Amino acid sequence: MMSKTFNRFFRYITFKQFTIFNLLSIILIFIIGVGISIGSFEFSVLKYFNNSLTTLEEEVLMNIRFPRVILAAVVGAALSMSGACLQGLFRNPLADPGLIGVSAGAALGAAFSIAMSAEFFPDFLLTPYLLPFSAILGSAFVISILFIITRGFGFEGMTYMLLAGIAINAFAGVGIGILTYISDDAELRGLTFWTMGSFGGVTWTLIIPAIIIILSTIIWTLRISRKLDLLQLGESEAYRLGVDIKKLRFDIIMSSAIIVGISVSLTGMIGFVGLVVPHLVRLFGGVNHHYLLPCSALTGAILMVSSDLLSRILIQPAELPVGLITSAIGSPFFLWLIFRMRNK
Amino acid sequence: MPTVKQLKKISAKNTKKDIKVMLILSMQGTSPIVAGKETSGHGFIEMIGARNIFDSFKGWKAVTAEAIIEMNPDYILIPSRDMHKNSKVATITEHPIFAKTTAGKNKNFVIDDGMAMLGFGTRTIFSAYDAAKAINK
Repeated sequence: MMSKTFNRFFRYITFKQFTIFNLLSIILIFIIGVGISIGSFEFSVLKYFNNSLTTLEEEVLMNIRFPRVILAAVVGAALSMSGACLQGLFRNPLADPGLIGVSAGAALGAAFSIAMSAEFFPDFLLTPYLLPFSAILGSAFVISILFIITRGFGFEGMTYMLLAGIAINAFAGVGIGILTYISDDAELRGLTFWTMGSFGGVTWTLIIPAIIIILSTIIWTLRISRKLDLLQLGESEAYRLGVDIKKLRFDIIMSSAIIVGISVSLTGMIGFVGLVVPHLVRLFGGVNHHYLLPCSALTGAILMVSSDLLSRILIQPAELPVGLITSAIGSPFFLWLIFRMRNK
Repeated sequence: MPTVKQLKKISAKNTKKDIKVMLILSMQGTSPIVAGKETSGHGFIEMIGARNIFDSFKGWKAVTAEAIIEMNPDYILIPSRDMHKNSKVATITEHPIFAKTTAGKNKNFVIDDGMAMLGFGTRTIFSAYDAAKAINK
């Protein structure tokens, strides 16, 4: 299964695209290296290799900085990858993970646990797992609603699905609005910072399950690249070429829901990465999904690790919400994209 | 019953000791949100004669875990929102970020009712007196 996937991967990409893939991998490794060497607690990471780190430095490196950088990379990859998949599936350049309402559902779940945990949940539930867990429940809830109203994602026409996503987004917005209205000062600040995204407060125990699930879902998703290529010919053409559209739709939406739900649950709302990165990757090397999906994942990881690095060091000792940085990079790009589309 | 005079006396003692303190408002799903300059939290810290380690910025802001370890607070103040839900406070005090700080090693957490600490009503003076005594060991 695995080797088959990789064989296909090499059959369908050009030399240039392969070079870009390698280049991106090298940049990612480099930027992760930079990410773990810089932080407000200053020491030389190179000391790790001759074992001369003090215990405090080792603690900071291994248990605070390293998990944070790794989580940023994985979340960046997840958001961009699901953005690329959804753009391919909807054949719409403006699709992104937020569009089908999954992140809004996760946000609603998280907001509920921030604002209501003191009132509603029994003591034994008040663990660090509560927030991610309720966010995942929120996104699962949204997905099941989508599943029911589109009759197993099989309903004719993608417009229907997109409109359902918009309605769900609005509904989740109302829920978050109500929770914001009734929450007290401390909860309000927690909510505000959470909706702007942050990789802070992560621990290994919290992120290891997330990393395993996200990475395996990403690898699993790579296998549908060819089907996504065929789908670009139109749904009926793809159907005649042997693509099971209904199953493809199910696979993509479910895998996006899983990785986006988990990402949002751990990091809050991080905008524009899922939308912008696939476009960037297409500009560099082409539109075939065997190239697009893995390179989007790599570019997303690079972008996210650098954004997180900026968020940590720009205004030390305070930290800038990472969602602000990605949106600051993303929104001008988005405008430029719309402008370019109009001029064509 | 503590009076303003008693509070001033004990906080003057604390000032001489230069005790490093931080006040955490909340840490759910994000980095800890702490009191910076010009917040009620900063006012409370000044009132008990301690030094706020995060006085380089204004307002309530999220700070990185590394910054907390580097600044190494002696005491951590936590305004609790719901006194009967102490387990919520426990999720803060047991967080690995604090294990490496002086406060975490010595279990130097001062927890009191949020409205008493930061509400700046009549209870604030009592809360401040207790906190000032707690950090003056």
